[in-house]
Amino acid sequence: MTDPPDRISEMDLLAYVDGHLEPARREEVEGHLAEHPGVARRIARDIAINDGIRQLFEAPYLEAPPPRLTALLQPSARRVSGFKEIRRAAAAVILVLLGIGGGWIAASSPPAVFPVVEQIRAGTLAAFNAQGRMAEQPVAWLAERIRQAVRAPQLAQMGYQLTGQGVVGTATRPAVRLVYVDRMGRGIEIFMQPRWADGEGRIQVREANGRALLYWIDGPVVFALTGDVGPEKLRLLAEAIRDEAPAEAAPVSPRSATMPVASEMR
Amino acid sequence: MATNDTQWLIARELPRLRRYARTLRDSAGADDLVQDCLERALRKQNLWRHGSNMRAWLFRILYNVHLSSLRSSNRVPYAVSLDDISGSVGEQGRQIPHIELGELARALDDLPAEQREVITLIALEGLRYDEAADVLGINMGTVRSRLSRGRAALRDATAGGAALDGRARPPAPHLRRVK
Repeated sequence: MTDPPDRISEMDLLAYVDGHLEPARREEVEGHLAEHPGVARRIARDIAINDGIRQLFEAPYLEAPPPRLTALLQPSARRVSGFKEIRRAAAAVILVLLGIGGGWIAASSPPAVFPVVEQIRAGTLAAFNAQGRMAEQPVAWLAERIRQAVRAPQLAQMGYQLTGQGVVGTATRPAVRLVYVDRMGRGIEIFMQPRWADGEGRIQVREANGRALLYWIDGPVVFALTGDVGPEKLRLLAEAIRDEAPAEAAPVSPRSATMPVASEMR
Repeated sequence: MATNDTQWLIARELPRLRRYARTLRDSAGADDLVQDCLERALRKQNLWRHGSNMRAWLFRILYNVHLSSLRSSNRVPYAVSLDDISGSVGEQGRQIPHIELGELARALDDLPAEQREVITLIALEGLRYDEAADVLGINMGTVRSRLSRGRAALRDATAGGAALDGRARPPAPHLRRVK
């Protein structure tokens, strides 16, 4: 079926440059290149040109998209109005890309800064070499640390099973990481980081590596949630996690005042 | 829910759409193109089949919007901005070829649009040839031949004046084809 190794065609060379060849054919092409230095120089130049093209157009890929584009993708605005209205309405919203249900995000209030959130966004939240109880039962360790009952969120009703847990961060700023997977194999991650303060805050949204990152404080724990699902689903999960917290885990607080208003999307 | 999940999938492709648009238009024009693409995609999002390739679907829309706006304005829209381009890839004097990025940008600029579109789509977005053919509305053989001819031109134009493999350097094409 395949060409004999000595019959390397121009199509093979093109596909080799673009990394589209199966390993076996790639080896044959590499053997061919080893014997034909002129062709090898040409192919090396093509590969370098591809690299150069990627570098030339790196900036528009990395920079934040302008609000006029992200505004279009704000679901609630689209739902209630036409395109012109969307642009106008969304111009006032800071977090246009991730702006979700009406009233959920107060666009004008600056978000609180929490180390775990910043680390997730920066991609610097590495596994922590935990020992003993911290490594074996991270959630129980967290409960001890904050002196409150806490358990891994139960998300089976929403279709998610806990499949992994561990500790990330640093010795001074550890966080528990829980991994859940749904039936489709899509994963979400929940981070819980203890803090020396109390109180509650509304669910806030940031972007981290192209995914929505939702976070909130619940008593002495900062919760962060991200995953390979849409922000609407993440929001429902975040609300379920927050509402599930056992009564003794959080002091009486004006939670109702910080709850999102009914979304216009439902 | 489904609608918003689809919008989220669209939103995730935004950086890639902007990057590819930038290979078709100058900076401001590229975002106009992306905006038109997003508006069309959002209007037609119920036509996207769940589980199919969202990226290829969006790129096809982007490219079609690009073509139809070219037809209506009859202009040559593309130019790589050379203002901020410096540096190079590869290492001088080593086996790895040395490419000046400014030279490469000019060479890309000089390519016929139909070749540039194929080369950048495949180099930047890693699309398979059949996917690129689908996005651009051409057949796979045409993708390969444009890729091959375009790469030959880029090689020659970025060889720093030295002809490769003993071949004479052809004059760079200065007329761009506009569909």
